[in-house]
Amino acid sequence: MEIGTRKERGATVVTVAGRLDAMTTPDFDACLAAAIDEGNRAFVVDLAQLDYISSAGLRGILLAAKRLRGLEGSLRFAGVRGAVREVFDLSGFGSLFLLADSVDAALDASA
Amino acid sequence: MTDDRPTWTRTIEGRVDRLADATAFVEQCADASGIDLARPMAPALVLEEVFVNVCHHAMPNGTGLVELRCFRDGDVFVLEVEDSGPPFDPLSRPAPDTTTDLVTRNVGGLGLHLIRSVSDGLEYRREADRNVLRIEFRGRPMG
Repeated sequence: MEIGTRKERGATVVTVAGRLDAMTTPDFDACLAAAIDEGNRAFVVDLAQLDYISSAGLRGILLAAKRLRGLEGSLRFAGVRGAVREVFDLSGFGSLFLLADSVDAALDASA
Repeated sequence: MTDDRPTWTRTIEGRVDRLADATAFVEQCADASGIDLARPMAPALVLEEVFVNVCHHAMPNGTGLVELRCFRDGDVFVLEVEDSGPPFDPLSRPAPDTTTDLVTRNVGGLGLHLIRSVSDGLEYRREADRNVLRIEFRGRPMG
């Protein structure tokens, strides 16, 4: 897994590529936790380059989302596709999160 | 299963840090089976959910072996995961509610939900002193 963060239009864009599984999710968790600790509240997670996600990855996302909700922050997704989209749909994540086609679209969407 | 079809077997230490090896083995077997799977991602996903579960429940001390077996049964790809831990039927646990909102959403239980969702047959059996979980994946319908 490769993970990167950047600021765009006031939001923190987190790009995750490769596999988000039981081995790699702790790094994802740590990255988001550090960004939240630094005071960031608006997040867009770009999964266009993510090929695979398991329940470990879903759990990491839910934990971050719950924490952000308590801080009145937001967690949105961009580029969810293929097998990752399938797993999101099976888990009901489409009704929990805003899933946009692109980072721009996620940033444009109203809260 | 007929006798002339191969069964691929791999024994792996039951530790989460062996997940990549276990995944690679199952993906290679799924390819070698020649079945055009209806859900190509399903074997790797189910393998991870089952393997991680076994590592946590069957061998909490980080010792013990997991045997992975793969074979083709007609138009079905079969994965069997066997461990020597205490009796544990992962299928006996309740399914999570995946329709609730973020506040009430439980973060656990999604692994079993995914196993059930992307597999086409599931069977747990206790064989001698071992847990065996058999998971089936169907091929895409012809035509």
